[in-house]
Parts: sequence; C-alpha cells; structure tokens
Amino acid sequence: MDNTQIQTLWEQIFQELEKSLTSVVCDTWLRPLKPVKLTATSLELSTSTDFAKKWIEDSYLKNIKQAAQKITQKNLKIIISSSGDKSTYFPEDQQITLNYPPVEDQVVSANPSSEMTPPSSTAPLPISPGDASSLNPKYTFDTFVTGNSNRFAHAAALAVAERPAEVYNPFFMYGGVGLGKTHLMHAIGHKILKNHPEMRVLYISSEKFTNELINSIRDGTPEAFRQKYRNIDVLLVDDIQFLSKKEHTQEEFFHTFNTLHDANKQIIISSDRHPREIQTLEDRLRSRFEWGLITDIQAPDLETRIAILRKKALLENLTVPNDVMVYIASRIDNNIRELEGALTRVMAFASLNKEPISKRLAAEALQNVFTSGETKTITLELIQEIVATYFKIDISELIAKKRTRNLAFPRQIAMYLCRTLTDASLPRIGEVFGGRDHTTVLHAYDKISRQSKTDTKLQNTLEDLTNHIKNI
Amino acid sequence: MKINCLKTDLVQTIQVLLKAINNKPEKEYLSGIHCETVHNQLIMKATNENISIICHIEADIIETGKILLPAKYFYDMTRILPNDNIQITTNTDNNLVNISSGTATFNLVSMPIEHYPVLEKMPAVNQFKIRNNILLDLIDKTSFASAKNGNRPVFTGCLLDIQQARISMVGTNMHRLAVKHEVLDNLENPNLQLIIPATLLDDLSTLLVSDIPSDVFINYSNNQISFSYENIYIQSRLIEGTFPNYQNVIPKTFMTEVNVKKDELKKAIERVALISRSNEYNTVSLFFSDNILTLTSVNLTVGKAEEHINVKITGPEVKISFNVDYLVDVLKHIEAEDIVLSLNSSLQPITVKPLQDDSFIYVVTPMRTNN
Repeated sequence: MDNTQIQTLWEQIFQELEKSLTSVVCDTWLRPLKPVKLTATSLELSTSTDFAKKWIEDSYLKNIKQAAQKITQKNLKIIISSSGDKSTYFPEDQQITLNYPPVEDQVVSANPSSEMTPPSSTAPLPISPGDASSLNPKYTFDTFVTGNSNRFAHAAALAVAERPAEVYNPFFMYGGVGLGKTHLMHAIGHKILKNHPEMRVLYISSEKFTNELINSIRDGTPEAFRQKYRNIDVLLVDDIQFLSKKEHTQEEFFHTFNTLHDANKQIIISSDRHPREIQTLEDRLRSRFEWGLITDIQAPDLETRIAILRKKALLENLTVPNDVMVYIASRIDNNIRELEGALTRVMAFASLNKEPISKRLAAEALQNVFTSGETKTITLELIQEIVATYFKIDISELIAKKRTRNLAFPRQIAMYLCRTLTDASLPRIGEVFGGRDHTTVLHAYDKISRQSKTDTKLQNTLEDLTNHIKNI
Repeated sequence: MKINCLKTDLVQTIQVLLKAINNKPEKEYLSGIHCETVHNQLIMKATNENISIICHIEADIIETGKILLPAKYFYDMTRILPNDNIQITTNTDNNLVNISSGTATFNLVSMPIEHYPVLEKMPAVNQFKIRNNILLDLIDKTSFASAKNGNRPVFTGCLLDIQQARISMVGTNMHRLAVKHEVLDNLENPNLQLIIPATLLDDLSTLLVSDIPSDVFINYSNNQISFSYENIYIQSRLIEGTFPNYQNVIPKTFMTEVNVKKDELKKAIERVALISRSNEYNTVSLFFSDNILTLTSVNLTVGKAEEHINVKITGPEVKISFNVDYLVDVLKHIEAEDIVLSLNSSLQPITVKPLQDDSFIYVVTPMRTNN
C-alpha cells in the first residue's frame, strides 16, 4: 500500500480512538504516531522516542488494536517502533540559573537608588495627560513610613489613589507642620499617574493658586486660568488654610471646586487644621470640604520616628548605628522634617570631619538643634523600644497577649525596668503593655527582682539595659 | 587524674563536642574526647577535619591529668548516671578510667593519647563581637538557601559581609539567593567578607540559642574562623574563594508587584504540589491576573491540581513557573504575615520580601516549561 492510503487508514483508526480515549491522551501520545508499514497481518506505527514507544506499548496497544480491527475488520498485530531518541518525550522543564557575573572582574558598583526619573520640561498651561512635573519624585507611597499616627490617613490615601473620584471626594487631610501631608498628597498623585497615565494631575499650593489668580486678572487672561484649573482630572491643593481672609480667591476656588466635583474629578486638600477651625472660610466652602473624608495626621510615636530614620538611611544608602537613631528619635518628637534634618546634619558632620558616626558625634552635631537645657525624660515608650531592640523582637510583640517564653521574659524585664526607672504607676505601666492588669506588672517586677539576685547573667543584662536607657 | 564535676555540665558539654566527632573518622583517636585539667577547670576538646570544639566546665580538681575517652560511650554513660555529681578517676595501673556517680560505676578503656593533635584557640588577631540573637537571625534567614554540594564550593557556605555598621549574610545555590541585612550597635567593626561553611552555621544555630541575648566573639584569619560563646569555642576552616557580587543578581526594577498573605500562599503551594512532586521536576505554575493568583500543577498520569487565592496585583499579568521547594523554603523562613512578590517576565528572576521590610530579600529564578 502506498503512503497516502496508509495515512488515510491511520486517520480513520485515530478518529476511532478519539471516541474511547481522552483528548489529552490522544493529543499527547497518539496523534504524533506516524504510520510506517501496513501488511496483511500487521500495522507498524513509529514514534520519536524510546520512552514514548514503551509508554504506548504499555498503555494503549490494546485500544489501537481494537480500533484497527473495527476499521479494517482484520485482527492486525500492532507494532510500535521508535526513531531511537533516548531522551524523555516531554521536553524537560528547565530551571533557569541566576546570572552571576564572573568573579575576576568584580567591581562593586554603586547601586543608584531607584528613584523615579524626574520628568522633562515644566508644563506650559494647560496640564497635559500623564505629566508629573508638579510632583516631587521623592514623595511616593514606597518612601512613606506608616505608624499609628498616620495609618488611617495612609490607608485612605491609598484608597483614593486606587480609585480616584470613586471613594472619597474631596479628600481632606490636616495635621501639624512637617508630619507628611504633602508627602501623602504627592504619593497619591504618583500612584494615580502610574495606574492611569492618561490622567491630568496637578499639585499646587493654595498660595500659588492665589498668585496665579491675581496674575491672570492683571494680565487679562482669566479664561486661561480657568481652563488650566478646570480641565484636569485630579487636583491636589496644599495648605488650604492660606485662603483664609482672601475672599476673591475663595470665590474662584469655590467655582473651580464645583466644576471639578460635578464632573467627578478627584480633589485632595491639605491643611494645618480642621476646616471648622479655618477662620473666615466661606461656609459654602467649608461645607464642601466636609462633604468627603477628613483625616488627620498626628505626630509620630517613638517607634515610628525610628522607622522613619531607618527608611531615610536606607534610601540614601547610609549605614547608621542603631543607638544613634534611637538617640535622635528620642529627642525630636514633633516634626518629621526636623527629624530627618537632624539625621542629615549628623551624616554631614561625620563625613566632613571624617569621623565615624557615634552617639557622641551625634550629640556634638546636634547640640544646637536640641533646645538647650532639655533634660531627657525616660519614658515608658523608650524603655519598650530599647528592650525590644535588645531582644530583637517587635514592640507590637512586647505588647501582645502571647506568653511564649521568648516574649514573656523580655516583657517582664521591660515591666521591671519601667517600674524602677520611671515613677509611672502600676496600672499605667499595665496600660502601655497592651492593657494588662497592674497585678501582672507587680508579678513581673517581683519575679525579675528575685531572679536577678541569684542570676548573674540577668543582673548584667539589666545593668546593660539600664545604662543604655539612661545614656541614650 | 581525679576530678568531681556536675552531671548536667558534663552531659551538655559532651553533647556539644559530639558535633565535631565523625562516625568513622580516619584516625581512631579522632573519635575521642580529649579531657585535661587546667587550674580549676576541665577542658574538653574534639575535632574532625572540618571543625574543632573546645569547651570548659567547672570542676573540683583533686589530681591533675589528661585522658582521651571514646566520645559515644562517654556520652551514653554520663547521661544515665543517677546522681548530680560525677567523679572521674584514672587508674595508674591500667588503661581504665573510672566514671562514677552515687552507687553506679563505669570503667571505660581509655584511648591512647599520644597522637592526639594539639588544639589551641586561635590567636586573637582579628576580633569582633555580635549578639547571638542577631547572628542566629542572619543564619536562619540565609543558610537554607546555600548549596548542599557543589560544583562551586563557595556556594556551600554563606557570605558574611560587614561594612561599618551594616552586617549582611548571603546564601545562594545558583538558582536562588537569600540576603539578610542587620545594623550593628556600634561602629568598631572591621570591613570584611568571609565565606562560612553552611554546616558550621547549622551547628551554630543550635548551639547559640539562649533566653537572654549575649555576645558571641568572632575571631578570624585568612582561612579560619572561630566563634566563642559562653563556655563553647568552635573553630572551622573558611571556604576559600571569592563570592561573586550578589548585588548583581538582585533585580532592581519590576513590572508587576503582588501583595499576598504568606500563609495562604504556602498552604496553596503545598496542596498543589501533591500532584507535581511525582514529576521529574517538582514544578508549580503561577498565573497572576485580576487580583487572583491561580496555582496549577499537572502530571498527565496522576492528574491536575488548581487553586485560586486573592492577592493584590499592580501591573500587567504574568504567568511563571517555579520549583516548589524553592518557594516553600523561603515562605518557611519569613515571619511576616504579608509578603510582596516582584516580577518581570516569565523567564526572569523574582524577588520575595516581607511587606515594608527591606532587610530581607529572596531572589529565585523560574523554571522554563513548555505549556
């Protein structure tokens, strides 16, 4: 028989096989078979690998024989041959390897920190889609450190960034100086542009808004002004409290706000105080601000301040010893800008004097920054922080309910130190340790005092920790 | 020699020394523990080709001396002696060493001591200290990723890298890399790069555990390193060679970022892997799309497994396959609840990090598959 006839016959047999075997099996094993030779008593089919030959012979020979019989009405012997490829049928899954550079030319290259490349030229009026020039590339969600003081605002900001104009509109943030409002605002802007590069995002301080308004009136181009501020998708306005006592600006802002809001465009506002505390703010503006979500950002606690310094050190590729960070963070507690500035100052001092960074150096560098005569009070927070770092656990674990030994023991030590180094009451100490009862604190104190009488290692640890706390 | 000592001290110390005893050492005397009285302490030593351990315990020295005892028997006997106090006495007439406690007595044949090598602690040339809990964390996060055997011997150890206040440990096996950074308390540290055998690190991870953090003193030369902790001194050869620049293989930019709960991911992979583990390569496929991660594994004769978990995806969808163990390994060593996976294309390595924590980075390369 010639080739096409064998082929046709095989196709018929194959179709018959498809009725009784799954498509996966047919596609994988049977379809690739090639009919080679047909005699009066046998049919030879060839496959590419030894493995496939064996597999088919073990599992499907009977099916093929049956199908062949149905089609040819003959009891043919089925022979499977292989073209001898010894490899397994399935192309092997291949593990890709890491691309290590050859060791000889090992030059440790300074890794540039992955900042967003600043976009090109400043935008002329009006704002074009995807333009991030009004945003500071350093202020993104990645560089923002969250803590108890700003977690809610951060979460709300994320929600706004993910779904602009869908959840909180307007989004109003307020808080003291240097706490991160502008950072969050820019972060929202960046994230919106990343997810929606076609949107037009404009960040502006209300002071600039006011100036541009005045200029536009003077130059006789009020229409261009309106076009710029109303043909955008996201408006970020910083320090809105500066509109206080500026009636005409408020009026213009009112109209801008309405136009944008009615067109379902996202508006984000920041201020140093709650809308109801901004004097001479028109009621209709105040009520519009209170329309959406108002969140506040508070001063960060010690843990968060330390985290902020760590993040800054990481971003600028600096290595700063732990005790220097705790030292700075425990002395500047109300302003993140000041905090970061202090770190910068210490780094500069160290590098200019070519000295390694130590606490002593930090104290010297910052003697003008800290208000003189400021005696450092030992706070319960500080003790928790130092004990947590010493035992390498998280403060949240120190406060949590878990009683496993690796947490309970440090916790008891921390409570003991709180009792001995501060004059906080037992209930107060219990409170800062996650709402524990004052008798728990008392028990911890007793236990540690008793144990330290006989355990020299514990004594040394307590001494060590106390020194650390007093000298920070 | 005649001494009295506490059973607990002795037993704990022998347990430590056993780590330096090979089962069938080349030289017979290496299967023994060398005991020598020095002032009011009993100094015990053990060694194999790779590591040496020297420990000391307090003891009442009634008569000075030194002996070499077979380690396993010494251990088994002292463990089951009834009393808290143990006396060890040598007999000048024969080779027997009497070990007794209360009413029980053992006599052990001591081993010839003449050929036992002289083991001394390294001279304190280059020294620094680190707290045991910090060292343990560094080891725990990276040692698992090192190579078990090797075409490249440098990968059978972990790189210890110190630059001023920053200490890092790196473990890798050509397919995956784990890096952990820590900041030390002070700056009086040398700048150094040493490659420490992973087996030593594993030993250390059981020896250095304690309730209260205390200092480990590390001493090193160009080919040896030693760790002193409480009454234990352990010395080992370093791995020679240069560790390649690991920073190079950590991808810096990503197209897609995924936030996922570690436990959910780990359990899903383990379930799906029931099918794939019978394959030649234990591979699981991950498909990230629309805030859902779909995990699949296929074996044509066994079957197919599929699972979906909710995740948060930023960026384009990706389909990528991995060796199951390489994924499960890192998930076992991250404590955080939430992790971030950062991906590029399906053939490029990804990073796994705990959420908002840049001190630990795990890089793993995918499998190239045909479906």
